[in-house]
Amino acid sequence: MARRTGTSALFGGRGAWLLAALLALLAAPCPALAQGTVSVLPVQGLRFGMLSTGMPTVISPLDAGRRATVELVGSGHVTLLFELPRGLRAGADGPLLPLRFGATDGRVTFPGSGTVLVFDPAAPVSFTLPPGGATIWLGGSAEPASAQPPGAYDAAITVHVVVANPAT
Amino acid sequence: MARSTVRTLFSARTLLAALALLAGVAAPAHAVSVSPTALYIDSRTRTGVLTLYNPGTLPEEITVDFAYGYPQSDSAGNVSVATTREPAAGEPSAMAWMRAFPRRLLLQPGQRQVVRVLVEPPAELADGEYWARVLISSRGGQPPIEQTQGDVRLQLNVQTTLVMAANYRKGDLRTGVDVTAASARRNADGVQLQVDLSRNGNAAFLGRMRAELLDARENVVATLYDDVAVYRTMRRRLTFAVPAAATGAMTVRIHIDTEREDLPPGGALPAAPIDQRIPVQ
Repeated sequence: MARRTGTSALFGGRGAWLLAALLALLAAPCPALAQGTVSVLPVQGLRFGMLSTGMPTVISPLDAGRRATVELVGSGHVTLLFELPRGLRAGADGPLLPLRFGATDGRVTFPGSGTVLVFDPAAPVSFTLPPGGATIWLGGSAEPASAQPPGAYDAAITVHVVVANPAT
Repeated sequence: MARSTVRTLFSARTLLAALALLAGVAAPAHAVSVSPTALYIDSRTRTGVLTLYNPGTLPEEITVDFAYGYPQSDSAGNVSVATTREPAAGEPSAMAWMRAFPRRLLLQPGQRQVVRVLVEPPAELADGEYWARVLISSRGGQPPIEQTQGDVRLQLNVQTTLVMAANYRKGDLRTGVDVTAASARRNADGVQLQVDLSRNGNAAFLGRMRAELLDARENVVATLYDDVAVYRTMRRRLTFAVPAAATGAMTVRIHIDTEREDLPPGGALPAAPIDQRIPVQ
């Protein structure tokens, strides 16, 4: 059975207020930035938790506890490109544990307006960063095979944030 | 089988460690600071200078590269800068003539580094402005966010690329802009101004537009500013929030000039200002 740990335990109990205060501090707006400059704040990576053979684990981009989250603050025209791995790999030439990213697994949310942009993380997505900034959410699924060999699996997702000043 | 280990995070020590880790990795990755905001290189010096600065607390790996592109707008007035490394024949591209020294560098926290951009244009180049974009990519300013659960480790890395104008100018340059169409319409959001601009001359028009919403008594009830870069054509849409007290016939007054304090000296070429009035429909 797939079991998960980490986030919920961390948020519960006496530490919750401290964590909330810390997150509020970290999320505080940055000083005004020059046109065409963006600060990137990676908040959280994808959290698949326990993976069991033959049992896919799907993370929705709407799952606040497990989706990947990146915040952007600043101004300019932004293009996002995701380098998505085919899967988690156990060693350089080891077995692959497939990862899948669907056409609606990407979201750009604009807190200032409440607008949400759905995108396919396999393709670039562009938008103009509004004064309230934007938050990027990424979901995905891990699909261990029924005969997935044991091992230490790892992978990396790279988010390319391309910021252009459209007024020069 | 991929396994994961259940970890207990209730203890105070672990909680503090987790918070410290969170604080460490969640600091904003400020893109490397670059000045000036754009390069306008003339044919006498054929050299531009960028100053890079790492405001972060970790070293940044920097790569400097070039592409071709310029601001373009869609039918809704959204502006973007699409770049390509294979510009079409006939495009006024300076991309292939530009070299950066150094092209790769490691910028330590708090360190500044000068990058020189040298231009080697072909002989017999006609007077005019030739366009490129300098791409400054940085990574490593912070460790990746790493989620490790049991034997599964997934990293989230961020690479930031700043795209800036790097234009080469030769000889006699002229620029200006024409308003080819303009409209102002009242809608549910307020008053939407749409202005279509077309450049004239042989160089990009870099300027700003001030748009004022006037009430029936010619009082200014709202003002908007917009920096514009018109390389060929450009559509801009701005929406005024209309004060509740504003009633009666309204007019939008626009003023376009080349006062651009954000650009380096000489960046915006001089051009005659434009004034126009557009009745709100």
